[in-house]
Amino acid sequence: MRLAGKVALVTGAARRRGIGRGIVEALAAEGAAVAINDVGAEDEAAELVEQLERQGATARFYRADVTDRDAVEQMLSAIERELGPLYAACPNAGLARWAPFEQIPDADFDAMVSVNVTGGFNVAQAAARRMLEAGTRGRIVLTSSVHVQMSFAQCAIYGATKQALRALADTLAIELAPAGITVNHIGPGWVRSDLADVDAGSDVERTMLAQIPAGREARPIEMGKAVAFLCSDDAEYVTGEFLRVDGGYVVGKY
Amino acid sequence: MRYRLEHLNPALEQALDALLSSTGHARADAGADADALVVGIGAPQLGTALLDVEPQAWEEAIGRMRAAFVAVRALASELVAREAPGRVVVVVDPPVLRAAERTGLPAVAGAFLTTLAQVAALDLGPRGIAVNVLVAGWMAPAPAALAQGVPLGRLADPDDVARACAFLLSPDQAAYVNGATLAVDGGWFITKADGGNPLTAGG
Repeated sequence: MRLAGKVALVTGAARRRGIGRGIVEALAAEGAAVAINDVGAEDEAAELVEQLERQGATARFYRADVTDRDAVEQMLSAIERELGPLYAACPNAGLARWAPFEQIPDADFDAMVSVNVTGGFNVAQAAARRMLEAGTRGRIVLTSSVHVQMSFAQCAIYGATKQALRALADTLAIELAPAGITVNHIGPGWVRSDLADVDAGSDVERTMLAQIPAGREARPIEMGKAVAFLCSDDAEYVTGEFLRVDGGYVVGKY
Repeated sequence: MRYRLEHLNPALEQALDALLSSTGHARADAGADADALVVGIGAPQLGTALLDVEPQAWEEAIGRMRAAFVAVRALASELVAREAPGRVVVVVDPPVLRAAERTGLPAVAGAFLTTLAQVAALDLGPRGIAVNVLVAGWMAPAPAALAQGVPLGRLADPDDVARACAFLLSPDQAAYVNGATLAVDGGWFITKADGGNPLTAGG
């Protein structure tokens, strides 16, 4: 139980099959009290809170849109009031759409940039300010992507948003290191979730799996265990790092 | 070559326009066909720690990214419709290559555009459209003290950057260069100067 008594926030974490849920479950398993954020999916969030409480963990759902700065601040205040001072922030909320470059709609650009980049910035900056005020030697772990290292056709904006998070994490890592706050990011491989769904038994699935040296998709809990490590005392000296958890998906391809 | 220059640092735009127009190329008038584009995100927003960046400055950085994307997409869709080849250079700032204190906004915006350019190179390459990234070294009006961190000991001259841009734009010189990143940064990327980062001086 490496995170007993610590409070952690995971954004974009309500969906049943998402990476966020894997992060929540792993942090809760380490003893953290977990604030589960999402912009919707309240039914699924309630189910997750119930599941965690049944297992003896502390968990609460906070509905907020991470693109709305005021909503983020209100959420952080509520978390501090109800769970205690924030130790770990995991900006994970993200969305993906794809199109050939010359056909990318403005709406796709705006949606991905606002959720993935501005949302990540809002949560990371607001959380870091509170950690500094409280003197907490806290943790920030962003969910970026293997797109940070490899270009995927038709994913110009999605990939760009993740590269932007990489730059955000690198800069914050340098700026926050003197305060003992670490900033890292994880690169999930292919997780079968609402963000990147593929039909079981389809050709697309076979093609995907054939590209992954480990021969299988990633499990959300595996992303969570990587985040839990980065949030733990074991990773006190790890900052500005990118930890891929992709079964070797992009090795040899970038 | 008919070229567009959009959202560049004004000194670079002037140097590039002078170089290209003196070597037989013509700037495309507004609304006219073009086959080349150099696009950037303006003079870098420097000097503020990410922790202190206010929403307005953040939105400005996002707006610059968006404007650069729109410019690349516009030329790409025109070229695809005309079935014409073309060349795009996306100009970004040094902290794309290595993070430094108080350079977070150009790092984020430039990193975004770097990957965007790489995927554009992948998507548009089969159409004969090359997209490359040029890392422009620190130039005035960036603080002169940044030269302390540059092995060549000086800031970039806009002409240094313009000449490299012209190379990447040239279908003869750089025919097979696509999805590449060319740094014209005097070596800033490879080292940190003694005494650290002058942007952090004075608090």
